[in-house]
Amino acid sequence: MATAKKLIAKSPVVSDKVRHYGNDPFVLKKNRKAKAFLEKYGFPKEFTSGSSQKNRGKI
Amino acid sequence: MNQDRYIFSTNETFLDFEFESDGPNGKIKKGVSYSLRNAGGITFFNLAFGHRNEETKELDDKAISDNQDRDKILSTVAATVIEFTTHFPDIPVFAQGSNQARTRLYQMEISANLAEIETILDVYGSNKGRWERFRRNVNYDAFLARRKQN
Repeated sequence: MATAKKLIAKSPVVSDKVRHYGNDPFVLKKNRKAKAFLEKYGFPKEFTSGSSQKNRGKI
Repeated sequence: MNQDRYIFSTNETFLDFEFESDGPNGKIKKGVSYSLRNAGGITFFNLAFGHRNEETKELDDKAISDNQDRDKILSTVAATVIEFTTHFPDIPVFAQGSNQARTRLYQMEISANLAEIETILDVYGSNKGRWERFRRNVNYDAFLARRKQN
C-alpha cells in the first residue's frame, strides 16, 4: 500500500477559523444542480443495491 | 497525486476545507465544502470548490486566480476528498465543475492519478447521463466517488 500512503495526507489542521460554507449562495446553487442531476440520471447501480447508507461521520 | 499539493485546514465538522493558492498573483484563499443531500432516496455529499471572496468571505466560482498552480490546486481538492471520505466512508461524493471546462479539469486530474485513486476510492463517471466505472479517455459530465467498501 505504498502508493495509498501518498494519497493520505498528514491529518489536516482542525481549526474553528475555517468557515462553514454550506449556506453560501454559490454552494447552495451547486447543491441544487447536483440534486437535479442525480434525480434525473440516478446513481450507479452499485450505490443502489443494498449498500449501507449508514454514516459513521460526525453529522 | 504524488505531485505537490497545498496544506489544508478543516473545521470540527470535516465538511469545510481551506487552503491558500500561492503564486505570481499572491496568496489566494480557496475553499472546498461538502454538503449532505438526498436524491431519489439516496444520500450523497456534493462537493463545491471555489475561490473565497475576501469581501464577503463567501465561496464563488467567478474569480480566475491565474496563479499558475492549477495542478497543485486540483491535487489539493482531490486530497480533501480522500481526507473527507475517511470521516464519511459510506456516502458517495458527487462532483461536477461549474462548466464543461472545469468538469474536464476534474476528469484530467482523476485520469492522471487513477491508479492511486483507485486504491482508495471507487470512482464513477456519468457519460451523457449513464454512470460507469471511470475510464481514461472518456468525457464525463459528472463524477461520483465513494471509499472502497471492505
